[in-house]
Amino acid sequence: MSQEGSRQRTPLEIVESLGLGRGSGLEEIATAVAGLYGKRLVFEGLEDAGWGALTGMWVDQPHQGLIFYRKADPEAYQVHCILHEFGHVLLGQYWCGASTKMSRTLFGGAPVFARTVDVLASAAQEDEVERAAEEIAYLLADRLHSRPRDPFERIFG
Amino acid sequence: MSVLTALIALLLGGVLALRTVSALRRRTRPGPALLSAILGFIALMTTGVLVPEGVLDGWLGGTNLLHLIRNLLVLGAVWNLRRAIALVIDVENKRSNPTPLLVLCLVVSVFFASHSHEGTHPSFIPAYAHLPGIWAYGTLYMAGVLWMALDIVRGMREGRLEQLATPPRLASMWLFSGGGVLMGAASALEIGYMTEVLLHGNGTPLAVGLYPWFSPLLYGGIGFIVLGLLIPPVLSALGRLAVRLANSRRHALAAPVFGLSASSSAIRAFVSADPQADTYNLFIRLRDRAVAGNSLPPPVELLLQEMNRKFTRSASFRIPEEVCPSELHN
Repeated sequence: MSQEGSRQRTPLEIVESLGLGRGSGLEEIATAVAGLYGKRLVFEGLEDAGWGALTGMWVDQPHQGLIFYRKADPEAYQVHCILHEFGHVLLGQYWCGASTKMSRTLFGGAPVFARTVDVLASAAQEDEVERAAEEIAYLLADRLHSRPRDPFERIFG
Repeated sequence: MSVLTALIALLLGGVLALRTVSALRRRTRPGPALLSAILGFIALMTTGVLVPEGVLDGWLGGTNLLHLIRNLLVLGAVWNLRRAIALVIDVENKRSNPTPLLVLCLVVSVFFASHSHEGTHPSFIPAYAHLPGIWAYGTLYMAGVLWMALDIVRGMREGRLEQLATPPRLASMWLFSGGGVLMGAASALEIGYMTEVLLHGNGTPLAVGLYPWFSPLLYGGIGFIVLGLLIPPVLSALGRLAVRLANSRRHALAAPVFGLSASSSAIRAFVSADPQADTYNLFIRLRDRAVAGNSLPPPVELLLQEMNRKFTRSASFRIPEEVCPSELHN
């Protein structure tokens, strides 16, 4: 777990530490996150029914991280939920205690982090870790959706 | 000052305004294209667009120094344009070494200073080209413009135009090329004119026949280049306006879902600092509401689908099955 003195890194600093440019692909972002995590990340789409307000989930297993998303959601929303889980993975590396604050133990004792819209609604006021994970998701989404400027645009545009 | 010069100055002022706003917005340093526009604009301003040439030169001592300053500004503007084009079309020689330009400016200035020319003269070259020093000054200056103008055309032949991708970009480059041809022709003609004046005086039929062609060719070439410079920032500005209008429309449509007024949501979205991020935020908030069990009105459902299509247009969006840690981040 890396800390910069006693100061906690901000979500922006955490995302900038990945060194991702505008127009980075999802796979590129995932690889950068896995690099800091130090384990492979496996992605699994969940079938439609029975997940309620749960939109994404990260299971932190000893040898890998499992990231679940819902197949029924619009693709851009699926990706946002994955980016939110990346937020938790990154906070786990940079923030002391972030990995224990929100985890539940469902998968044989492995910590589980979930993005649920009811938690998110209250997180805006109360939960610093959830709020930071969502902020990281937005910052990563900005890297994903913004188009890199080509030489013509940079020079003449 | 002709109507053509005033029109070119106005258009170049427009380029400058758009590019300056864009550079400030992105917090970027001025690149060679913007530098070219700045130098060209100042050069045009010395032709009496706002303040008469005689008055400006009077402020500098009334020694025709304004003529030299204008020519140095033009050399700087054309050099920067040539550099900008080389960077964009990826020619092998990036035209980045300023030494030949600086040497040329120095030599031109030395020749300009080699003769006394008191009293602002509105037609400096016809009046003084019979003096060898002023002939050398004018000829070297025009040779410099000719060399750079033709090099712009040559760069277009060497460069990789296919990477420009869109017709407006190609149009800009062809306008630069056309401008280079016209400026090159004006320069060659002016060298011929000055040589005729040096050898036989400015009253010969050849000198009288050549002189009127210079300004239309030179300013025609500058006009082409200014149009080429104008197209990209105008299209960028229109593109940004379209993004703002689309963001505004989406927020107005979704406003009732959040219990907000459509008009105030639309206005807030239009002036948003980052309309793209604002649209994304709206998409996530709307979907979160749907997941939380709130039904969305059919137009908002359609809006959600439209926004999803917008955000998934990129091929780099595919969710991988798995990724392993890269060497770089270990």
